[in-house]
Amino acid sequence: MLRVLLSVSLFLSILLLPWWVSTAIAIFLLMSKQAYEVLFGALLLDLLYGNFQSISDVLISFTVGAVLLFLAAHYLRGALIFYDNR
Amino acid sequence: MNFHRRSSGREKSISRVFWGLLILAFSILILNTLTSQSVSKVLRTIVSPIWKIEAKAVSSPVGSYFFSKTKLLDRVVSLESELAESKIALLRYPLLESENEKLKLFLGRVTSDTRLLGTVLVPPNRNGYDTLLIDIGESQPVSLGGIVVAHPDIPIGTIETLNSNSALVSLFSNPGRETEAIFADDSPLTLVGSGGGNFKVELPRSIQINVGDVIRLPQLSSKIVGVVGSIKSSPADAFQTVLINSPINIFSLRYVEVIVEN
Repeated sequence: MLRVLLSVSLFLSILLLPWWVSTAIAIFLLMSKQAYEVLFGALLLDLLYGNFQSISDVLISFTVGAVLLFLAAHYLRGALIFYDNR
Repeated sequence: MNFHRRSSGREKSISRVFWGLLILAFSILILNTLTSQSVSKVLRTIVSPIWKIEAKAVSSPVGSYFFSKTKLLDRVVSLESELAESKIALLRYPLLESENEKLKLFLGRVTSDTRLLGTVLVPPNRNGYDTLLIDIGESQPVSLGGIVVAHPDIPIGTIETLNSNSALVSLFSNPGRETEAIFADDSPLTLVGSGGGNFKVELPRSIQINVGDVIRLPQLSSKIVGVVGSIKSSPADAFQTVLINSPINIFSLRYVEVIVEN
């Protein structure tokens, strides 16, 4: 239930609130398992507000940042002793 | 003392779903870039009614009720003080402006432009890309590259993408964006955007520039695009770094004007 609320909040914040609020919600979401909606949210943010003139501009985007956060969260979940990995 | 390990060991390798989503996301981004932001246009058209409702709600009496009264009062006091100082400094402005127009008329160079008023749907601090979305679209007589100005006459950016009922404006202060400008006696320089209405310029130390100098766009009707905020230099360095700020707060913009013709 909390995850659903956070996911809805993420997408609403992308439309209505500053980007750093969306980032904070995304980090909370990534604490749970496999929060793929973070990737969708970052893609939405880039498509709505980005101004990519060339393919190299895509490398500096919220999508890339979300991918890196997702990977970091994935490895941290495995490394933390007290994280409930069930 | 034993600490019982709750974790079952290293988590499994990243699922195929993630890699699939990753490829899909980058494919969409690259496709969007190659097709002149066609996907973005569709998305913005779908979402723009939400932004318009939000803009109306914020500017309504009910919306302003939620702002802190104390903050507003402090802001009013601060602005009144700034206004008093500015009034004194601007006493000569009407005289100089009139003289300038007469000189241009005498030389046969009369300038006039038509402007379209637009509402800011998404300010630059919302998205982290130093862009803003306005409610002027393809149905209005605007074109890509059209200059967008904020009151009173401060150019802030150009139209990069036109959607059916909105437009994406890229600010001059977009990080890495270069804009030709002039200062002092029409000396040229290239502004490099550093985000948030700020610019940076590297100039040789021999060039005389002072804090408070006005930076303008190189047009007949010179428009102020920035003011020198600070200068960093060291005796060992042949160059000085000049930091330039926009004279207005771009994060609090609610209305802008698009120059449609000169």
